[in-house]
Amino acid sequence: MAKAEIRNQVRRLRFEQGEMTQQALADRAGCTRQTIVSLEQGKYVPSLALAFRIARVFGRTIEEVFEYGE
Amino acid sequence: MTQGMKRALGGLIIWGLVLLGFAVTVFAGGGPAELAGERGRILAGAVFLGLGYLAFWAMLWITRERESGGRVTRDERDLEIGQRATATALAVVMGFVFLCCIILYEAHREPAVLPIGWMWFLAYASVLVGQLALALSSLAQHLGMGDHGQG
Repeated sequence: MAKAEIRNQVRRLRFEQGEMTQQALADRAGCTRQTIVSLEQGKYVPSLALAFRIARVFGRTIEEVFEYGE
Repeated sequence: MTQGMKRALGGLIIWGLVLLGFAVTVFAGGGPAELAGERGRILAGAVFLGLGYLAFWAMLWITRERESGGRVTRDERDLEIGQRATATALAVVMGFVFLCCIILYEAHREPAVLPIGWMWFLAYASVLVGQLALALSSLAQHLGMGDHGQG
């Protein structure tokens, strides 16, 4: 089975939101700053619930923030 | 540094020191085979393990979750790391106990007599190996997931 990869646009979206800090995003999404760091580095795939909360912070749909590819 | 990483680092230091004291206690005086009847060494090993647990619990209390203005200090990623580290530690302990038993079996098959001190060694060593594997695995995963990243 091919390895699935979840890419995300979190870093770009933070930048577009007036350089929102990782801590500010973490506070609003209800996770730790280290989780945002890991997400942006592609080293952690969030749960569906966290993915929805992050998308909601940016006012985007989940597909606009996270992308699934094989 | 997250709470999970602090605890992994603390655990590694504490159990590393306990292992050092344990190894000196066991191997400096003739090895596990000659432990039976040596109350001093047996007591020293128990004291090392007891002090290790006291220090470990103190470290857990010091690094407990505190009020941080509603800020999240532990989340799903920490839980996932904890689950992976526990699974790794379990595998390491199983492998350690299995290998020890097989080696002891082969070494003492003839004349089928095993010095009872080895049982004491296996009991204590498996606890220490488990705690060290848990701390090491947890720390490695925290570092691997970018805990050192910049804000």
